Amino acid sequence: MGRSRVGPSRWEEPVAFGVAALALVVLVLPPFAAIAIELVETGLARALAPLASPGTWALFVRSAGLAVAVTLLATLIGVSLAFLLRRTDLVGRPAALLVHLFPLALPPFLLALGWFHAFGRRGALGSERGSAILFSDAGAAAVLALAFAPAITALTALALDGIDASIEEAALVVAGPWRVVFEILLPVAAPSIGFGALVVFSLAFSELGVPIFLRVSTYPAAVFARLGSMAYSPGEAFALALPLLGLGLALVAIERLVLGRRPPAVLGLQRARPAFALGRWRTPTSVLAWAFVLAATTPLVALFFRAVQARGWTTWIGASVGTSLLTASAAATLITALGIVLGHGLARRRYGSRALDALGVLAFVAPATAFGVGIIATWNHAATEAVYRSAAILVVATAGRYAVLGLRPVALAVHQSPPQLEEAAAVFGAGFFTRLARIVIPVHARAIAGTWLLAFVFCLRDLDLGVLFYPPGRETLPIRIFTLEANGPEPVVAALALVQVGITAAAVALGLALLRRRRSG
Amino acid sequence: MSARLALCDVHVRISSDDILAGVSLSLAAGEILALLGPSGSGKTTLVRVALGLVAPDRGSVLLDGERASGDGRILVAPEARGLAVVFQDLALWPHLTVEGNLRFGLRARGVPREESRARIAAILERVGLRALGRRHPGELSGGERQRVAIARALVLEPRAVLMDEPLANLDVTLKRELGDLFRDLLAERGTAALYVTHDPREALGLTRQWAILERGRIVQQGGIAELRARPGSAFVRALLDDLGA
Repeated sequence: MGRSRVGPSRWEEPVAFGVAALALVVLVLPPFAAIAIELVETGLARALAPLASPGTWALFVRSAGLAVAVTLLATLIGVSLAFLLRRTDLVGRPAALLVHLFPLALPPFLLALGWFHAFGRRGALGSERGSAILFSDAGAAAVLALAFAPAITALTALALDGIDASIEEAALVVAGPWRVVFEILLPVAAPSIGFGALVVFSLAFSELGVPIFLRVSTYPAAVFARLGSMAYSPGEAFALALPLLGLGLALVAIERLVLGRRPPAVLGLQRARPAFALGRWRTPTSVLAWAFVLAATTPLVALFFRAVQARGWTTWIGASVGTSLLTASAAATLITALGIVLGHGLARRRYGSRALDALGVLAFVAPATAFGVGIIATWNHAATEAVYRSAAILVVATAGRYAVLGLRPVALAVHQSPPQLEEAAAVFGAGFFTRLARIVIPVHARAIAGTWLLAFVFCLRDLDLGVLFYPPGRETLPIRIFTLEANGPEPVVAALALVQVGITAAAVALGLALLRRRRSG
Repeated sequence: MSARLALCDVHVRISSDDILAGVSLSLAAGEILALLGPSGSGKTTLVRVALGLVAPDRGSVLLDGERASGDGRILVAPEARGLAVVFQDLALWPHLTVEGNLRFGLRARGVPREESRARIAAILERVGLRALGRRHPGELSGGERQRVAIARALVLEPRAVLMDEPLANLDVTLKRELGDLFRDLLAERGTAALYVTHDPREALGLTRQWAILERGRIVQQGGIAELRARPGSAFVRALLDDLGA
């Protein structure tokens, strides 16, 4: 019965779904297709010449190695903290979780900047040795792992929350707590942990800001260099984007074939259950966990102390804050709107919804450089100049790249509510739009608001995509900070970084306050 | 001889509600006792208290005469009580095969590998699942999953097994078939069992010894004939009326 469409106005749902599907396809597919078209038009043999160089592939492997190291480290940190901060009686767990998760909402490049002000040669805690470690592959891996670990923490924590209490209790009746954690809870949560690891791998591979700042050569940075520096060669950029597209497709295949097969036993929030008692280890574990969580905020503290020396920094900020807020709000709204219609379709297994979901996943996990190069190839034409030369291109690009952040959470929320809620309304004569407005959106208001906030934060922190094609005078704040970093005064750059932190913190605080109000209301 | 499992004047209060208000109940070796009560009467909480998942605010839980929980504290951890459970939703571990589900508890209790293998083979044979040992729970039918759940509980050779409405939501035929299987398995092994249900027919198929729980209190306990002779409440009368003559 999954595909039955109820209600008197049978055309409404297919039309809404079709329009949303078309919008998603237009946002995501042309950039990837354009890379192939550009290469064919140039002549394949000539176009693909850069890929014949062993150096190109050595750089690709090196980037993959860095991303694997980041993923392993972030998974170790994320899974450990998710369990400690979510399922044990550790002191101050909710506050520690909030402090730990916040850096995920910031561009990792800002954190690298903060680590530089702390441990760089002229940093407060700096030394030659510290600086050498920071400006190395190991330093970049550590900075990125600390930046992305909260993604694993969040997904693992959600999965642990979602495991049915009786599954845990049935195990606790026959085995000790640690065996239950390692042999039941974590394996049941494994699909979410695996998905988190995949996301972290793709984010780490995509990352431009941190490797460029820390002078670590990576493959995406090489593509970026072909688009706007001494090595300017857009044709080569298209060729170099091809392996990135292949990597993106491989990640989608892994997500579909390996992770997608596991039972969705980790979805949803089940009834509360007692925390695992740490016993005599409670105090030392709490001290260690808090020390780690607070240590990870060192870059923000270092940025603050550097920023207080800044004079006249407001003149450097330009229109970037307004552009950031405007483009991120518009993109988040578009993502959420598409997410409501397509996420509902995915939850109700509408025809084609899984293919659309895969397209969304591809845009998210494919390295931003590949998607960005495709955006240039698609939109940088006379006919589309109005979009390409305005801030609209930032909205179009981020909405496409982060579309899956709207689709998946809404699908999850709708999946957990019985279809009878809508079927009952349909029996009373409500068409699809009425059911959407009167049933689906109100019932899932918190999930939808949370989805908007998530999309907004990701669009607000975006650097890797927008930096490839931002229109002159229309740079967002992260791009402004990134471009100023090379030549701008350090205290001013730190001050602008703090503005980004402040805006993000305000948005997250406001969003969480509204979400809590709705829950208690 | 002391009872395998005994609850003595157990009180559990959650928020301002008395979920269990002085429950006393005992289960002798080899005895099968059905615990019947309406929804919200505290049946599941009673099971969780007996398992050691919830500490009673007052009163005690005794296992073969030894105090396992008492006055707000859990003195013997759930895994050390030698009990087994079958929950209403069965709670089979989705990432483990049928054999993996059975092996988990045996490994945790330190049963040697060879013995573990033999016990798993024997119980799977007995419940008719010998050929399905390598399957995951998601690949089984509803009835097969029920068999796995009871096999998982009994393979541990527990002191007593607690079953919390394991046959709820099944059709009448399957309910009868599995009820008979449960009864035979428990009788063969002489395993004591507390069988929680709200369905008098299901309870009668398993045992004629009943305890009735209403609003957190045992209002009556005894054989069916005794309950028929002097029904202790309107609910007991309704249950018996439901059974007919």
